[in-house]
Amino acid sequence: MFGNTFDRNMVSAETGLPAAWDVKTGKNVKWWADVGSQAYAGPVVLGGRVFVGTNNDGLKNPKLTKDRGVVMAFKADTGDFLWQMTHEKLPAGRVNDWPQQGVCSTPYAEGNRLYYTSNRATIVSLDAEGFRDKENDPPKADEKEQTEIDGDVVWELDMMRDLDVFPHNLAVSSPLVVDGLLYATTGNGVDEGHVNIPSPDAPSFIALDAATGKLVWESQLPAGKIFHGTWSNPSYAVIKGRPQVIFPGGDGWVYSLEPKTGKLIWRFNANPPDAKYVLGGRGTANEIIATAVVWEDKVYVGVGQDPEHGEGVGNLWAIDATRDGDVTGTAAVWHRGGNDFHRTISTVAIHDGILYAADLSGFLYALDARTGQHFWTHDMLAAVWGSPFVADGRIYLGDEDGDVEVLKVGKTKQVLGSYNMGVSVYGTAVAKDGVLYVLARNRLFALQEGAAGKPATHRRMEQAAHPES
Amino acid sequence: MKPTLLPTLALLATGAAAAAQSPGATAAGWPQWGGPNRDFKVPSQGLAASWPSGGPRELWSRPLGDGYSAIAESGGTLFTMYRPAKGLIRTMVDRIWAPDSSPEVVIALDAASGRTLWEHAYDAPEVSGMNMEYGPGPHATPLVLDGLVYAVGVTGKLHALDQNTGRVVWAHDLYRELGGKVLMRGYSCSPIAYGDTIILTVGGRPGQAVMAFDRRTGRVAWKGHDFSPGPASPLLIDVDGQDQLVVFHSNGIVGVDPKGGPLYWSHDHPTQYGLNISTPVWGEGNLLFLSSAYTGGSRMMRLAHADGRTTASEQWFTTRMRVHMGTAIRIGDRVYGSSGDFGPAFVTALDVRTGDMAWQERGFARANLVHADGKLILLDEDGTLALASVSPTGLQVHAKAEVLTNRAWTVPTLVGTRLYVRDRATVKALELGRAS
Repeated sequence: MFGNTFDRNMVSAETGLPAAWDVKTGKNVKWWADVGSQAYAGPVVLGGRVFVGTNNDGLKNPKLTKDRGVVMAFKADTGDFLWQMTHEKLPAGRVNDWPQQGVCSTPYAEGNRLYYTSNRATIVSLDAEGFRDKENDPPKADEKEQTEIDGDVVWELDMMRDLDVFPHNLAVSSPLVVDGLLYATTGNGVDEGHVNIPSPDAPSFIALDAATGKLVWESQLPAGKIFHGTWSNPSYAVIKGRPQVIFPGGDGWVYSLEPKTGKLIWRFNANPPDAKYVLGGRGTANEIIATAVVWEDKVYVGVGQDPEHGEGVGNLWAIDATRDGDVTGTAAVWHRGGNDFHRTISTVAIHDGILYAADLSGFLYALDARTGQHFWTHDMLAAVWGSPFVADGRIYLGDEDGDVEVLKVGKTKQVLGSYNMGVSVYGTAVAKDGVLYVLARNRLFALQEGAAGKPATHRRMEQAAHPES
Repeated sequence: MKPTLLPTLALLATGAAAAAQSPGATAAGWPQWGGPNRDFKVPSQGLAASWPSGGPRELWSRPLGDGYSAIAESGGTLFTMYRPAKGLIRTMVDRIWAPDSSPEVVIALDAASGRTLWEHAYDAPEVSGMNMEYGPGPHATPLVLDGLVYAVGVTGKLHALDQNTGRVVWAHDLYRELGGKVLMRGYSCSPIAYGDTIILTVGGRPGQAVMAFDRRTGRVAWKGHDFSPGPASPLLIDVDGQDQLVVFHSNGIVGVDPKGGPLYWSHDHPTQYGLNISTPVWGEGNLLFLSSAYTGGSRMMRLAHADGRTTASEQWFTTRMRVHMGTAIRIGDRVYGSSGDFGPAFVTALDVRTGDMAWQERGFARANLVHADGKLILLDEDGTLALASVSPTGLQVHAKAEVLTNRAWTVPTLVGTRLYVRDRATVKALELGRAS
């Protein structure tokens, strides 16, 4: 799952990961595989498979042409392509399903199932084996494509048809499944004119029966107050004995709901009282796109906007998650904002009491997770969309220049190296079985100490599936 | 083997612009997109070394409608385009036009006072397939040549107007009449002159990626090629004695015969959404620099022409400089530009031979750069104007001022020591010269 654990903390206990590599020579590169021309979702590693979300410009099945949202499965030990699930684009076009963005939802993988949000604003459950197992998993059995490289749908819930959701630009939520319930945000937002919310009564947050896809509860919060869209992901934790599912909202508030009922536990406005949302990207109020991290009974999250809206002032919060009701201000343990923290769409990593947070402006901060005390700042000199990933005593963070910077964890800044992947890196690194997986914009890399893979030449995108917008 | 830019426009422009100069400045007009040589460099001299704390002296300022079109200058007159936005201008327009109309306006202003000399307005409703979320345009910049002004609006309406009166001499509709390719953010290619023609990218129907129109009559002089045009404007270069039209199209770059002959060379430079926008830079060593955001990166081509054949070889490619829609400028062995897709932007210097990063600096949002008198003039999208010079290790900012308040995506125009700037609501003239 996105963040690997329910608390979404971007840390891992994996060891033996590579500290350096060179994709041009293949040094410490186990394998790499081309995906679509854009990829933001994943990777997720489970059961010897690696899953990513991307678009259809990789054209893995030449029969299935045109722009689509795609989930791909690769063999973890070799990088061989296993199967893909594709979703045609919505006829409404970019207002609900932006061209070429593909599937941006990082799948939740458990047992033999994958769960994600498609570009068509459907929540999808797939058989993790696809049709490679030559079985069609019920209840859904009428998939159009059923060859061995196709995905096997278990169930699919259409949030636009069944829940009246109007996703702005794209539904992207990376779901969670806890105790048989699937939690997701819906993508609900404004229309093309950017002022009107066509479905103000549609839910932003939902819970489904993970076995069947049936709706268990829905929450209309924050109803008609969404600034732009709902693009964050839920987190889950048991805090002082009380289970909570944390939903950052499209109105810049953080909502904690009762997992079984959807009833509000607490809410917190992550924008200062004088913040103003301004159409088109100026302004000081932001929605929340980052995912909340739960650590030591506190919730950590920063506010931000669609990266196309550019840089702006941000706010990073540590929120006491043990309270009830409107806890704006009162539950703030610490805060960093103004010119000290900018808009972000990155999720934080907390390791050994130190919080690592990145902002869209390209700064990586190391702060005391308990007090907010500043230890150091590293300037990536490029926009950052992904999240810092901490494992094996290192921080791995990719940027828009295509560089993955590697730093040593700790209160003192120590840059170990910077490694260019040949194309922008918008994803967050993950690790499994001693392998570091980095999803670059159009290529998935598996990096391993001592590996000698084939050199990765610059990829020329044929864009065969979809020549241009 | 020093490459030269085609001289026609440069000569015409410097001659015609003499009347508009402020005292002591070298004559240099700005008759088209990119200035006389389409390289955003002008031979102005006498720029002040710094500015007072309040910024450079404002000569005049006036409201103007919406749009990103840059300002052309010739003979003491400024030419640009706008769409009436809410407010006074729109109110005046609505008296003549129906309130639900979508007029686009070509305007001539007196460079000395900002006073309107003439306007030509025409209805230009949005075409199906366009999405003008980031502003209704227009985007392209007029071309002024031999008494005529050539201007294309965001819906592909092309007019040749009398430079003195705004009277329509001829017109074409690139979209409705000629079936040109509709770009999502609207038409943005600025016309370029070659011989008796003006040249534009059109696309859409087969065999018309590039079209040349007779300057005087508007008759289609020639059309050709089947690549898919993007937002970028073409460039004319001289490759070892041979004239070539360089078109940075949606998936790459080509060199074609500007007289309607063959395609000489082609090289891939794909980007997501086909958005190659920034004007390529041609310079010493027969080096052609191109850069784009959207996964594009920067690429350096070396061109050579011999025995009737052009060879185009890629020198290097880097992901670390991505000029989105601003200008790139070559000075000596460095190329400079504001790099960044949407979030932070960095003024970036690359070595033209190797593509290695010389330096990167924060401090500006996405910016346009103009070069004159050994200095860079930067205008970023937040409206911050700066005077700076470059060194081997970084950018030295000599002065900085907030001169515009709306989104300022328009490249400033420097004529002599006078700088003309606009955003989506205002146009103004600033004096950058040394106090006399």
